[in-house]
Amino acid sequence: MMNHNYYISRRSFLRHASILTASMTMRSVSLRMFAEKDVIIGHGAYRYKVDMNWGLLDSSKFPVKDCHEMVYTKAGNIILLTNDIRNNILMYNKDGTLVKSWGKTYPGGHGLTLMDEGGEEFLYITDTVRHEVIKTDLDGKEVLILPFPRAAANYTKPEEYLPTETAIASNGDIYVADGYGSQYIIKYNQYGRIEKVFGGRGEQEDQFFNAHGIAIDSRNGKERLLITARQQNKLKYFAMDGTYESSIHLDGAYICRPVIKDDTVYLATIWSGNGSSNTGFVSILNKENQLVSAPGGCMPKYTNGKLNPLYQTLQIFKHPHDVCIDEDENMYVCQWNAGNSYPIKLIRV
Amino acid sequence: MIVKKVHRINFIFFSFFCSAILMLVGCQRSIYLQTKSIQLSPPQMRVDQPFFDDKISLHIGPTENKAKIEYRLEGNEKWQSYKIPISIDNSTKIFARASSKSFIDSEVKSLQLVKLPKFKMSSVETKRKAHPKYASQGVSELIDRQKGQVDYTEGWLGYSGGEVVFDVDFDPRMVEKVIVSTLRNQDAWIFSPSRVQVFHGKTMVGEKSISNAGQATENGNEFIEIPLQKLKSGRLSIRVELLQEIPSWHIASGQKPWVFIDELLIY
Repeated sequence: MMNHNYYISRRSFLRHASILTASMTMRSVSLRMFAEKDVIIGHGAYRYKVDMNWGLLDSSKFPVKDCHEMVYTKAGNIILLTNDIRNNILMYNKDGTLVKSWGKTYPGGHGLTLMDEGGEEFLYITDTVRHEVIKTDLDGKEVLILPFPRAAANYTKPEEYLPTETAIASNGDIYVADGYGSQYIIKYNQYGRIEKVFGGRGEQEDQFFNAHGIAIDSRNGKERLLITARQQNKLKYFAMDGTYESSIHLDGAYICRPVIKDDTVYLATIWSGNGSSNTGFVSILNKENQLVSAPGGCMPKYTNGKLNPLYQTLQIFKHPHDVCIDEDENMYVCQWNAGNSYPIKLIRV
Repeated sequence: MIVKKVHRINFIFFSFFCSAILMLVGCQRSIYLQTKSIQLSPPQMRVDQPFFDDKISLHIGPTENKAKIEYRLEGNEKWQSYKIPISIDNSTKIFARASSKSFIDSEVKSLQLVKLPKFKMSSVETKRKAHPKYASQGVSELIDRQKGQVDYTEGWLGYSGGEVVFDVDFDPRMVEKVIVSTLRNQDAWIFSPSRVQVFHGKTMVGEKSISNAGQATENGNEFIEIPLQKLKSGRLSIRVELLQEIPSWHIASGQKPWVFIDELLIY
């Protein structure tokens, strides 16, 4: 009898089960209904959902102005550089929680490069207001300052030198791009002594209009410099001694800096088309340096080997200025002049 | 019997509880950005260049996201569905927009196209040289009937602060308007001039103040049209006056603005 007390008739079970099934079906329908409305941006294998809420902070405590650049540490944290001197550096974990903040002395904080040097990670910050490059540890302790290089390229005043980016070679050489200034690339050794200056403003292949970003590309086993000529919509390869090698044309894409992860190059693209405001997206190149995806932009298409001009298709981004890629290949996009907004996370699907 | 009933009630309660939880989960809003909250970008309008002699073919799009393109010409309020390239044979402004069921409709984008005058200018001179970085091939760029490059590296003359006067010579004829072709790129400190005046000898025959020169505007070409008192002339002086300083809302507030000019057209 006791067992019978726990017995539930088959009919009753089916009735109850049908309620469960129905509710699960409704859940499935409702999930599908909502899932179909999630925006998916990008093309081919590089497609993403968009999380606008990642990394939101109390702006009265942790304000940002322009969010210029981001890097990803080996501990899995994301470091953001802003030019708000109440907290130039914001360090997040991957779920968007603030880990720590520091920095009040970088009013023109623009370029942020991370380098693992003998097991310890260091940051290289370019400051367009201080006209300097500052090397710090991850807690903000300054260990090296590269001052205004007056004699390097016949500079006459600091205002001619507005460094936007650094790249660090495996041997410790430091390359600084004067992307908002006189367009020179200045090569230092690891101790901060200037060894070479090349580039400069101009229309020649080895010159630049807006040498905004620089990175070391060692995807083919040999280190080369990959430098953006943003106003010219080009990436330019140079040998490590400063010899020009070749260019990649990305017509219509005003690219900020190359971020290389595995075989792929990611580029925040601040403007597109004729350079109008609020027309940004992200550009993604494969191992062969072919544009394969443009999240927020048009589908890449080559005609007779030439990339068709690029333009924005959805108004998700305003002015993307840098991207950061985590080990799951999700992307974090920070923006210049975007209403003091925090980064946007793109989840690869 | 009572125990059995209690267990049945428990099971029913459990079922509804599970259902409620599942429904709640199912109805929870996605954490991701939704299509209906995103606006389409305006469609791209493409021509060989905005200046043309007889007629020009205008392409709009393509678009993605299953968007539909519509356009209208200046002076015509009726929107038309875009299917094939449009042939334009007179100066006009074209407006275009994109719409889709999935996204918010785009803003309207416009493109000004300018039919060139039938006669060519003989020469142009100025006492003020353009900034060496933005001097292109010299002042003759202003009468070559070619638009400057989008990235303003070629075909443009750039001036920082003050004013500049151009003297333009041509075969004497009746003239009625001048167009000064300029660039707006406020991110690069390039603003519209504040005023343009046209002189025949020492007599001012036309003037245009650009009231929004100091306001934040979209980047792009700007064709400043100055109607003239009808007169016969073979030489006009065009005075371009820059804003005194970059306005307070701009990051370079108080600095000297730039003006970029790529063509002077006389009709």
